[in-house]
Amino acid sequence: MAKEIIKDNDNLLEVNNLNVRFYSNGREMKAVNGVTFNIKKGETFGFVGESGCGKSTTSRAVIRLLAENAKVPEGEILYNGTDILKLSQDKLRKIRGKEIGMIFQEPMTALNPVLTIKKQVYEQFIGTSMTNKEKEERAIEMLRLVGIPSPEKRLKEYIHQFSGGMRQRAMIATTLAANPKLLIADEPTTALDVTIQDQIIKLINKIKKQMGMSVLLITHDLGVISQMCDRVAVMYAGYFVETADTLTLFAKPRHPYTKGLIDALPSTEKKNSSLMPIKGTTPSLAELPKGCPFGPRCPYCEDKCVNELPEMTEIESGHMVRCHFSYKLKNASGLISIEEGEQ
Amino acid sequence: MDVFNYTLKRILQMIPVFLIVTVLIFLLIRAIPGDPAMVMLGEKATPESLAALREKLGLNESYIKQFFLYFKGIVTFDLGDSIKFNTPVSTLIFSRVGTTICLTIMSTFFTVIFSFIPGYIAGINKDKIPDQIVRLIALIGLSVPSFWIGLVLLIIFAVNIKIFPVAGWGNTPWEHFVGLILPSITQAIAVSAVLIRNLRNNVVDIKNSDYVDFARSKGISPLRISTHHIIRNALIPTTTLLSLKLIAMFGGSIVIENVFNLPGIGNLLVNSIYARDYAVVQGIVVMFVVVVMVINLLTDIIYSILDPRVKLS
Repeated sequence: MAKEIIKDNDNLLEVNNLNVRFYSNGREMKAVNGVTFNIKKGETFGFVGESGCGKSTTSRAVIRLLAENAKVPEGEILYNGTDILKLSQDKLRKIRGKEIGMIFQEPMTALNPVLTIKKQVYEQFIGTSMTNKEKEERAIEMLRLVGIPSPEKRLKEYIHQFSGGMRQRAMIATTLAANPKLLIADEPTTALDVTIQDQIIKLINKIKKQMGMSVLLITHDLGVISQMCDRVAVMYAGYFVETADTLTLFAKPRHPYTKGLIDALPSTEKKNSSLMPIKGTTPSLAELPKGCPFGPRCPYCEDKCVNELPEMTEIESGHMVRCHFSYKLKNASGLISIEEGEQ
Repeated sequence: MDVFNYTLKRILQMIPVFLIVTVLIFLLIRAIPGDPAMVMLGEKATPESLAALREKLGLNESYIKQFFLYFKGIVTFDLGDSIKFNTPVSTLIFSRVGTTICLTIMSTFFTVIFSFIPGYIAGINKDKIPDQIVRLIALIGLSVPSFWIGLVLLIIFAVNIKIFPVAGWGNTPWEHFVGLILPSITQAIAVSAVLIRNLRNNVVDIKNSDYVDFARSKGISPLRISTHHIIRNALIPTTTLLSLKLIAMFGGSIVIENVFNLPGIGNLLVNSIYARDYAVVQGIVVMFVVVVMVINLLTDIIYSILDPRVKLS
């Protein structure tokens, strides 16, 4: 019991058995299926997966920012113990921004093109008792924090006047102005070129420590995961297929899909070998297979996989896999090797 | 570039356009087959009166000299005399232009009401019943000619329910106002359909845009999201379109003023064409050209003010 309480206090966000369905043209799309995870205070949790695997949908569901045709038939999203799914619109608005902030992939389209950065930062202060001077000081402080030079001047500019990397910084500053405890970063580096990507990753890592935030990171890039996350969930067709701490995931992937993702990374060691893609394509979310969603593409697929959906199973502490035959990968090597005794 | 420099530059650019148009108007009038004096005075005119008119119109001079006389007239605001009314064309235009301006202003007012509200409601409720209704009405408005709308309104609100005058606009400002209501509603209906569709589509695009999602993720009130993020952005293209529609309304006044028998420029133009009063026709066309150019300039300036991404250059 005592253990339970400690655990509750530790978790900033706890998502249990979350399901999201989309309805279009009379078809039901199973976008998110039975997703369960938690994010501790100060932790960076990552979702990784291909486009359309439900990672963005899951993250948007956390602050109920889903499209109109989406429904959440099942699940709970506990933020500091309160279920976000059950909140009234007014109470939800108090969580949005102030408690859970979000940054988007493409700052050029995510910031309003006809409002100055100042106006968009100031929107975070609506409902507070801050004076104009305090608002300005806070806004300038935020721009400085994210590394935008001459913030006093740039505050009065529009997003199109910023360069690519500065745009992402401006969006991060806008979100951070409200001092959120949890930052949802939906592909924050995808639209940027590699050098800027690196800067933004370092920036988010730095700010996270400085402000004591938790981060929920969504990316399709395992490289970004390795640089930012404490723990990772690999998503496939709306399911979590594997969750582990980052080191374990890279060292000992136990789901064939995770293994495939890692093997598909270009490697400098295997100079002469060509890339190893995962064959096939993701299933349609409207017609998920009865059994394992990855079955049709899986090299280890057997009859059981076709007929029966595997459950998320904890194979070792903190390492969960959704696979009937995860033991087959027990001795498979990942991208990195860590010294460890027999299990 | 600031607005002043830009305006100056655009005005300088207008000069060649204006020159070309005056040449066109000049040539068009001359291209009409037959003797203009004969056309003006009719078949029963005496040779003496024809010769006198030709002399008065300067038709005996060479085309080059005629053009320079005509052009000098335009730049000195001396557009010649009306044959029918026997007054200077500029006086005639000034006495009529007020009606047309009032009509256009009131039409714009009704257009804003008729298009902005339903357009926004339709866009927010995309594919739901309010959207279907608004789209149907817009489609009807788009396919029905404005003179017919005017006639139907007249029959209903002036002939059957006698709350508006059937024709004319009376003598007092209040009578002017009442007299302009039906014509401006008619104009507005004709123009609104296009604007409704434009605004609806803008709202549909914008309400699903990333920046509206981002604004939502900040916990801003739905009202503020509507006003500062959706409406503010959706109105940019619609306002531009509206100011271009002003030109259409100005041109539309030709039809509307005749249906409602209003003493405006459009009415004067049609009567002058019937009466072969070429000096008046010429003067009004020149005035229309200037109005169109000025509205175009204002449109560009307004656009740049509404949308900071647009640079005046």
